[in-house]
Amino acid sequence: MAAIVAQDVWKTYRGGTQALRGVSLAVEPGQIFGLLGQNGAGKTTLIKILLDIVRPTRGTTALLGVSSRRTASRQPVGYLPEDHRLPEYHTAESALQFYAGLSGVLRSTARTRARRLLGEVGLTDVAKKKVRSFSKGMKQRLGLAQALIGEPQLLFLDEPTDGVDPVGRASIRALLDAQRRAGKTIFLNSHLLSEVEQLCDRVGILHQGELVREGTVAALTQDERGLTVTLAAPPGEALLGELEKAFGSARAGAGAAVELSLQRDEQIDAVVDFLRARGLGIRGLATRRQSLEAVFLESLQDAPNTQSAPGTPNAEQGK
Amino acid sequence: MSAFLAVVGDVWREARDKRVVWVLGLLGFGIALFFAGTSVAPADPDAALVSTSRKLGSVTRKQGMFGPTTTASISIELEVGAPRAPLPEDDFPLGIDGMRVVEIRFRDVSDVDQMCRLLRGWRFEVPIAPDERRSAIESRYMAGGFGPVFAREIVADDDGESAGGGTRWRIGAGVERPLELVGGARASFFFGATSTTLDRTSPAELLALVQAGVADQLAGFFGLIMLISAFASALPDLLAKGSFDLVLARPVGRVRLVLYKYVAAVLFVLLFWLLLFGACAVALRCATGFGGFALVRCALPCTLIFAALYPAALLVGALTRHATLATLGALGVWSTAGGVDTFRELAAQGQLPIGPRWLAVLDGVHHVLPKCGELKALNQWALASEHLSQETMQRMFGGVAATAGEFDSWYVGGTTAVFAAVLVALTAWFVQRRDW
Ligand SMILES: Nc1ncnc2c1ncn2[C@@H]1O[C@H](COP(=O)(O)OP(=O)(O)O)[C@@H](O)[C@H]1O
Ligand SMILES: [Mg+2]
Repeated sequence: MAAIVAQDVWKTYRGGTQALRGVSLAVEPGQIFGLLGQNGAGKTTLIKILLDIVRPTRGTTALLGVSSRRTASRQPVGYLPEDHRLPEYHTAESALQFYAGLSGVLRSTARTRARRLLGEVGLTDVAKKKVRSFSKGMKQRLGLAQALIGEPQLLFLDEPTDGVDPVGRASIRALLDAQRRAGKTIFLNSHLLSEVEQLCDRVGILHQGELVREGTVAALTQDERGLTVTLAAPPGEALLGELEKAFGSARAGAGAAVELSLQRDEQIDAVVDFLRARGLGIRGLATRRQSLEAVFLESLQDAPNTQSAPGTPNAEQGK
Repeated sequence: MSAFLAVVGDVWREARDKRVVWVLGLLGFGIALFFAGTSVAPADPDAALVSTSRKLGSVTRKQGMFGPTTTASISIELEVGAPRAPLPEDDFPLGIDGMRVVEIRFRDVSDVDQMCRLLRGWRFEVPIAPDERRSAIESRYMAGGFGPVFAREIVADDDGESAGGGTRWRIGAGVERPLELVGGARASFFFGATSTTLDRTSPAELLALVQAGVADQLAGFFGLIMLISAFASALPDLLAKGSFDLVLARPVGRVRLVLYKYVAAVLFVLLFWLLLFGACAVALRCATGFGGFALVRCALPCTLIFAALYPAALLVGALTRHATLATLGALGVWSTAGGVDTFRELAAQGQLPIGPRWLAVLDGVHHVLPKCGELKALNQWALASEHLSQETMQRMFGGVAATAGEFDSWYVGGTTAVFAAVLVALTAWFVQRRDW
């Protein structure tokens, strides 16, 4: 049974914004799923529908086999919303205890757990300080702690590293790694490609409310392989033309290098044979995976521009 | 259960974060301190008896506790004898607490009749029956704080004692409640820094009045506004963007969230008033030996009024997500209810020239709205009835309050609860069906 399921989810907001258009996906237990997309692509809307904060216009969603429309479906859930605002009158500790209580955690358990989590996110010193005195980064770390306070099986993170400095980012990543090792399922929204690449097992790319690509990071980035061949002497125009005819693409790289992009790994043999047959010396061979960024940009170009104003900045994001 | 406790803790923490709540608490503490520094000494029964006798010619009428007071006087020539202990030949019942006897002589029987008419509100045309004279005189002494009171006309046939003409009466006045005696009691304030002699009122009335002031003015007016404004932001804050998400992602239904918020606020208010009134009552009790549970019990109607008005703040707060508008919403319902009460009172007194159609509309609106006025009157009544005799209560509060004990409390409580429930349900429904 998949941990997170969305089936043909459509959402049209009041006012007519089509935020989601037929999104279907399934995340298996223990996976880290990254949802990539530009601002306004509908990432936040999808999470909110999964958590029944927003109701879909059409389609169904379920968490661990329980329909999102049922309150019980949120028992195993931890959620870090984007731009969250923790009540200012709470202290770090009391805020965690409040959310723990809402998640049904007993008081005594909540107290020890809050203390431990505050330690993990580095807020022990300010545990008794009011949230109103916190910096943005501290609030973000406290937000992460509140998402973890119920010891959730499913963790939904909406732009978790937004507004966090590099050191904070590293510690958040470490925390998520620990969650992954503990077998938790994580659903991560981000517009930061490198972050998703480093953390996620599977990636979906959302563009204007449609899921245009979905798969493991490896599968997505290995669709095409880059090969750099360093020759003994710089290649001539004629050679490049022949290579292009044979393998689809070829261009001169730095120095005596030739850049090729291949569909299959076996083609490397063919390239070597091709060059050796012409008596050319090979001084180096390097493959490189296509970066997720390239995949992302490519998929945006491929996607049909069904909305009149593509990439309209999302007013609510206000970044 | 843990979710409910979490919401209660959250709401209370938010309240404690508000300055108004502290101001209110401080004010209550100040009043408790004032009570602790107040003491009273009852009037000397004989002095009160003479003073009451001398005042037979003036009748004070009061309309409601804070309504107008009118004093009407007629000049009566009156001789008042020296008070004495009862004798067997007086023929008054035995075993009455602290009974004292005094004899008075009116110059003319018409003086007594005038006094009777004064009591009936200046209706001169009506003849006065002999029995009415007796009960009128008895009622005047009871109004002076005596009770039970027996008046006997001394018939002037046998020994010619009634020489000098007029009509002579022998009054036997019991003193069951010394603090209710009017005339000559003393009260001191601020731990004895100032003191005064109470001439026209009894210590009991004074103390009931200050307690009613606490219940009515501090809690029922000032406190109500402050607490509503303190809690009005609860829902707008909860629903604020970025904050509701944190709560909605939890396994608690939205309807229950709204309900918990409401109950938590009401519980806070109840506890707040219980503590504040409790402190005042204890202080008063220790300082004067008077007062007690009745004031503490006022916490209930005061909380009920809050519980009836707060849902309006919830609803407006959910619709607008604006704390000030939410406060105004609740205060709007309150003043509408007050306005309707006033109009109905005026109409009942025939001072409002409106037709029966409009009267029916007023009545209809009154049925629907929370019964703030009645609840307030219940407070006064509870306060007074615990410590004062019927007569003193009537004298103090007049009209509504004296009859508040006769309100159909099921009707008052029921319609108020229905109003609150409907508004809370509307709020929950709105929160439930919306996207956040
Ligand atoms: N509450 C809302 N009401 C109306 N439109 C909304 C609302 N929330 C989001 N939208 C719109 O839906 C689209 C998707 O938004 P969102 O899901 O926040 O995208 P993302 O998280 O990918 O940036 C945007 O065009 C946004 O303006
Ligand atoms: Mg977003």
